[in-house]
Amino acid sequence: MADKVIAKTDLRKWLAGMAADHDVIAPIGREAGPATWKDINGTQDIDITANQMVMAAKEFLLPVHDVLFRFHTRKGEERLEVPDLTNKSTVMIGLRLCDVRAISVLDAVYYNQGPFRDAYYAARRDKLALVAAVCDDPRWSCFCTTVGDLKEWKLGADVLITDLGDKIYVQPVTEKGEGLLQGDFFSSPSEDDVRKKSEVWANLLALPKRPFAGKDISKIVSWDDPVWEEQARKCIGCGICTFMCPTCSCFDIQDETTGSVIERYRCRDTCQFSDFTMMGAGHNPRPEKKMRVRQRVLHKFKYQVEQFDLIGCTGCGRCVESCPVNIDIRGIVSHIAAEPL
Amino acid sequence: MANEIEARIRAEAKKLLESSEVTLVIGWEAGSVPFKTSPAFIESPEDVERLVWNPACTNNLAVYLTEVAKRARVGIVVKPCDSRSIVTLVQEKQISRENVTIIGVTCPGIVDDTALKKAGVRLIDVLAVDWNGDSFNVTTGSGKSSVLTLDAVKEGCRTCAHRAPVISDVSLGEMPDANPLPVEPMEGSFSERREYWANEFERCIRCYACRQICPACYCTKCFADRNDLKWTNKHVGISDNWMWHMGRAMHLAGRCIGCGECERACPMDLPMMKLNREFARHVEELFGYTPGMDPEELPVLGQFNYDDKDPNGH
Ligand code: SF4
Ligand code: SF4
Ligand code: SF4
Ligand code: SF4
Repeated sequence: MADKVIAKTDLRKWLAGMAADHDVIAPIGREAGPATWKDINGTQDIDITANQMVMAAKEFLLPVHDVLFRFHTRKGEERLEVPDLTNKSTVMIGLRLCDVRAISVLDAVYYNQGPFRDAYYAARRDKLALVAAVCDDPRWSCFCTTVGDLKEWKLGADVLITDLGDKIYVQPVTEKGEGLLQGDFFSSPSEDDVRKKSEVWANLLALPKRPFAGKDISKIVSWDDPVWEEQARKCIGCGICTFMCPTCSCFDIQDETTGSVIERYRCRDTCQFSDFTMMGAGHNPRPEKKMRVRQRVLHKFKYQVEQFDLIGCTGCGRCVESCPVNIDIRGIVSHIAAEPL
Repeated sequence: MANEIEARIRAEAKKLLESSEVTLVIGWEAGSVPFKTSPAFIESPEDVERLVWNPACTNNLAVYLTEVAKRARVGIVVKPCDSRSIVTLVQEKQISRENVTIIGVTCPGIVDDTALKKAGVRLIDVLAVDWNGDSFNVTTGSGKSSVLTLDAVKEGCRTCAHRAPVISDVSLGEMPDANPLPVEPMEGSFSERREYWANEFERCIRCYACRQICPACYCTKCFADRNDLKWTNKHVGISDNWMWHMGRAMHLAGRCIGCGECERACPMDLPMMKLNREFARHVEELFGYTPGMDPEELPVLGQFNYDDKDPNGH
């Protein structure tokens, strides 16, 4: 598979080309709030390498309102309607490497589950190609290099793109990815292009690691560490950390009736809400906030490590930036590792 | 000036804890990055050194009182807006005045990360944010320091007309020289405003952080969480989002003191203060009432006068 370059002025042509037989979605900024994944119809200008806050890729893979089925109850017309899962193939362009990693974590939960593979997730995932941008301007909250190996994470993408100023360096990673690089606007990279691309990579890999890097939190963490209570006092239980997190994927299932149609859908839920674990008969196995604070951290740094052999946190920093009381997961994990932040 | 006040906050907190007048003092401590602070729960006199006072002390700490001040007497450090939240809580009998010892500080305005970003500051470079009289010094990595004026304050502070706490047991700081911007009525016709808000509400992901951060949102079971009587569905979409925001607005009219914490907390950056200011303006015009000023006064929704104006003219 050969690397290529494309002039930024030709980016639109490439997007339009892909849009002929794919939905092409990219982070689109709004007047306010994080950028969101939208179909760009091949025509819109996109700023794929911008250092902006972007909603996690779960916005597409696990939509906030995911219809499972509808039941029509009008007399004589009763029927079950299952959504059409044979959707068009989709290209997500403008993911970061942490977003690619997050999809690997979601895959572990929803896809690599043998007979329990989730049909709704799989329908989207099977036809999804990931075009990831190599970050050249990390945000203040980023700590990807602390929790993982970016050279391994990049293998989860189909195409990698690196901003070289007036051009974009394009590297196919998989055959699916190579198939996306059609058009005479691609050319072979010059030696200078290769050097520049390697520089961006080297800068990214040189992102300072936090001292807790490499420590196996799953083995050293204490269930009774006073840190849980300390953080719980501050925590207001808003759940933003999990709503924004690219790997948090807990859901609720709701029924809603409109006229004669009953709709069953899946929507977000979070372990930070006190009714998350509330049983029908009123028992709540996680009644205290400290248990919920602990759950979020341990799910990522212990349970998913034990279950899937991967850290469920990608170091994307979304929770770090968004928590309104400055609960910083990097601080909690540093404390557990007995290291400074 | 700020450091002097910080020292006095620590001294007052120490006195309260040493005399056992309180078992807990709630204040702010340094955050994980220089442009943030975090709520601090101080229980021993040695720990008062953790307390800080700087332009990043944004959290309205009164949100914690309904939980802790029911059980014991606590000390709390407040800005003027936060002090008005305490008044509201006392008026509404959520806490009793005797259970809180209030260390009040005057405030020229707060600088949160949104305000810094708007002022063009690269957050990753920030080393410190300090007060400089009534303006702000932002020191960045290159050793440069830039002065931001009061225009750069957090959204809620721009129109704040109360720069000294309205209730306190110890009051610190001098009256700042700050001119609040006037509150203008919301622009546009009814249908333009409806379109504007539909567009804003559409972004809401219904995490309810705006509710969780708000000291006035203390209901043990929010209408939005009820499933025995469903006021809203969990469906994230314009109809249910609208229901949530109207419910929130109606429940806070005449009670919201405009600290701006809901807007700051919102991960989708909904302009909540626009709505809050609008209903505050209505309440002021109709009933001549400003929330959170006097603990002895009845809350506007808790009183009825025969000459109350009916907004619909009936
Ligand atoms: S826990 Fe926080 S930093 Fe880690 S992946 Fe989730 S949002 Fe990102
Ligand atoms: S965002 Fe912060 S305050 Fe909200 S639930 Fe998460 S840790 Fe708690
Ligand atoms: S904090 Fe923002 S996104 Fe969350 S419920 Fe409130 S308005 Fe919606
Ligand atoms: S509604 Fe918002 S501005 Fe008003 S008191 Fe609550 S958090 Fe503060």
